[in-house]
Amino acid sequence: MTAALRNIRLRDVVGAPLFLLVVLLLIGVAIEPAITGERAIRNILTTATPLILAGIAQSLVILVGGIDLSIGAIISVANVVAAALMTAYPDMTVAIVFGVLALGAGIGLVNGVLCAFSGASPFIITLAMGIALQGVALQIMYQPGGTVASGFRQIARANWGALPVTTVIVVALALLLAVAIRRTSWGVSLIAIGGNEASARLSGISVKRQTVLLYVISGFLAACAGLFLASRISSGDPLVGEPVTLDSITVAVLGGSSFLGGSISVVGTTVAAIVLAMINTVLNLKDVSPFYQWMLKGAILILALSLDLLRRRKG
Amino acid sequence: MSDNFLEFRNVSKSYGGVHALEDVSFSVPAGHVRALLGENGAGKSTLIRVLAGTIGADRGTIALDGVERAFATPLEALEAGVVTIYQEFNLVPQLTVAENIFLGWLPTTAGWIDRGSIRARASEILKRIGATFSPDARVGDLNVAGQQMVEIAKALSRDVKVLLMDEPTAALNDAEIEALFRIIRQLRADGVSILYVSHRMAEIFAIADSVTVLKDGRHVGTEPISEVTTESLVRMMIGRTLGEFYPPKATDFGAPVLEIGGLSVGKALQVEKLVLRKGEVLGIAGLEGQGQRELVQAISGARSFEADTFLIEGAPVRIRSIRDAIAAGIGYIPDDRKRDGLALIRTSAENLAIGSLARRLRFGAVVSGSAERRFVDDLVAALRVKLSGPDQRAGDLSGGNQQKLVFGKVLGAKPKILVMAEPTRGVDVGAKREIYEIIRELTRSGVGVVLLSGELPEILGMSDRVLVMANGRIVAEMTDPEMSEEAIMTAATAEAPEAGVMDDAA
Ligand SMILES: Nc1ncnc2c1ncn2[C@@H]1O[C@H](COP(=O)(O)OP(=O)(O)OP(=O)(O)O)[C@@H](O)[C@H]1O
Ligand SMILES: [Mg+2]
Repeated sequence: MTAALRNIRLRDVVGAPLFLLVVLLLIGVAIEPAITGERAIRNILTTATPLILAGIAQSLVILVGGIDLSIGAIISVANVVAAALMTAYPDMTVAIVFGVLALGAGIGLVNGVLCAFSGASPFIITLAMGIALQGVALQIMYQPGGTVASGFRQIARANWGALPVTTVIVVALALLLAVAIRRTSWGVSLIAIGGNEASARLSGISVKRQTVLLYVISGFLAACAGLFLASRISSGDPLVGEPVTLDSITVAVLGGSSFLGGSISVVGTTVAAIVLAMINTVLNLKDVSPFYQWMLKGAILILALSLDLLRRRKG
Repeated sequence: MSDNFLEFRNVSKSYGGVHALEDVSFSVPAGHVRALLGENGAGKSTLIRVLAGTIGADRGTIALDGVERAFATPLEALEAGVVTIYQEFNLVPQLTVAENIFLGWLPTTAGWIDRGSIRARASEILKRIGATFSPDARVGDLNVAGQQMVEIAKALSRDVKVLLMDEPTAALNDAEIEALFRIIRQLRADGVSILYVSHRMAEIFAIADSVTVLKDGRHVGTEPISEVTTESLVRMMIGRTLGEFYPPKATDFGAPVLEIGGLSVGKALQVEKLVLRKGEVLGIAGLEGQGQRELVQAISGARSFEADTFLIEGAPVRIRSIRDAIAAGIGYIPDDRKRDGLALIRTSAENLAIGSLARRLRFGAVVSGSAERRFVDDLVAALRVKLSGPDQRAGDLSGGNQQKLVFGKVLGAKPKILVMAEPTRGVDVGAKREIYEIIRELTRSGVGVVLLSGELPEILGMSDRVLVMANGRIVAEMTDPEMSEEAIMTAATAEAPEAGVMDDAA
């Protein structure tokens, strides 16, 4: 028993993503104790919700060795399309929601087909897609504007006690997904594709089909995030998704995904999204300039990536 | 059951200018074990891949039970009962043993995996093949032998009609091989046609009913096992006979090139003293997993260790990484070439040159393209690596030729000490001899060699001195007159591994 304990090295402990998250959480609370209040918690969770969606989307794609750099732009497009249409056709909110979800999934389908069949790297494909979509979003709505139906606004505002309803639902779905990854043949085949693509193929798993499916899911989740943001800010903003691409990668890696493929932690990603939202809230409460916020976020991503490497290096 | 259950008809396949298979025709009856032999690069794996549906033939057809079949995907082959154990491992390190075994057809209820059922079925198969690890172990945590057992278990979990085995025993010890052979015999009795690729002659005579020999992609002949001998097979394979298999041993040795005192790797290895002299081949033997790997990995910087003294040519050195080891003049040939040995997507030339780069750069030389080419050409010729050209991707080479490449890469660094783990794994008989010759040439020039091998004949044929390990310690040291398979096995098993009684000395 003691021998087993002695064999746990500092490296393993520090490398555990949850450890880092706990440290960040404690630092946040120490700097700004106000964030433990009910309103602050609600605010943090609402901020975290689109990031949880985007982070899970990103970690699913990273799991199979891909990456989706268009997530932020899909969010922006979904957001402005929803806001523009809802302004023009206030009575058709439900149809518009479904239309926007289909649009997100459709963009994901294009990403997925290109990544699976063109031979070009997902990095380039989704980067190009992201730039093109950002143009589309700005074309539709050059600056923030539009308005959404009051019922739709309630989506981001409904609470169960201290907890926003949407966050609770998203977290519940995340937990379900976490279990599905380990306990369904679908989840296991995704891990197989990321861990050893040749093995997956030789075992009869359709690698291309699953790759396409994951980009579709990614686009769909990004559209969900875009809609949620439309509800939250009650309007459209063509740049609302912009910071999310990088943040989604940060939370995926902080949560335990590896760019080597084959690993994912949906729960870790969810927690990481909440912690990152908390950091944002703290920095905003402390009136830290956005420039420093960017630097800090970049530093956190680099830290997370280094810890990932450290964890994987065999002793 | 027909007499030609599995039939290859005029199968051809080329890669660019290389004819991997040319007009190959032969058949295998049901309930029969056919050994498939040939030099490295003869086309054995290619033939297996064509049948298994992972690559398409350029020409020719394959018939199963008289019906022509062309499997476009591995899945189609699996569904037709054609199951393959590939030469290179195809496991997912992140998944458990049970998940790997049933990957692609995990039993589910309403989408959820039946954990209990896969665990039970996996345990049963593992027990059948004599594997001792748990079905819940992560495959990435298993050693090479364990992973090979998982590959075998994965194949056996299927409904097999034709079993293709590409060097399944390369990483296994004798007990595991015996367990595998029992299963092969049982499958044969059940009417399965088996195609068995191996470079180990003794195995062929132990398990095969007949042999088919390929040479340069062509079918040289098919004979019943009773009609052939090792010599006649070697002649069919390489077109000439081999003389004495092992070159003569060294007669005198120089000063110690490596002296280690008080070496330990956690609880896995405790060695009080180890001395390697110039010009000496030091064999490391023992049952599987008694600290041999830890020993060679420690010496070569691949694993962190503690040592009281570590002297090279009498001077103390600090080894904390493979880089340190290379700088100190230690070359290392790992047993897992895919993971540690080669950059598979780089060209063969790049892989060879990498080994020597550090050395040449240290002397401030600029690496010139033509000098590098010449250097590579020399190594390729010396090792008879079968390449279409120096620009062929290392990953596209046949298995044995990849192993030769690892060898060449390390030699390029001109080490003073060469540490080898299973250097001839997957290498054909002709090239094995070539490698033995090279090892002896090196020792004649003063290099000291540490040789870890699970093949006792290789240990006996090559070593000037043998260290037998058990329980993480050196339990016996032998030199030539007293060195024999029996003596080594006796020493290796005398000290039965007992967990927890290792004292804290060293
Ligand atoms: N993907 C590929 N691209 C180019 N050449 C290839 C490819 N695969 C195989 N070859 C070539 O085809 C020939 C036959 O290779 P194969 O792997 O069938 O040999 P083998 O008989 O299995 O050898 P070994 O005993 O070393 O495993 C070799 O010369 C090899 O270099
Ligand atoms: Mg082969």
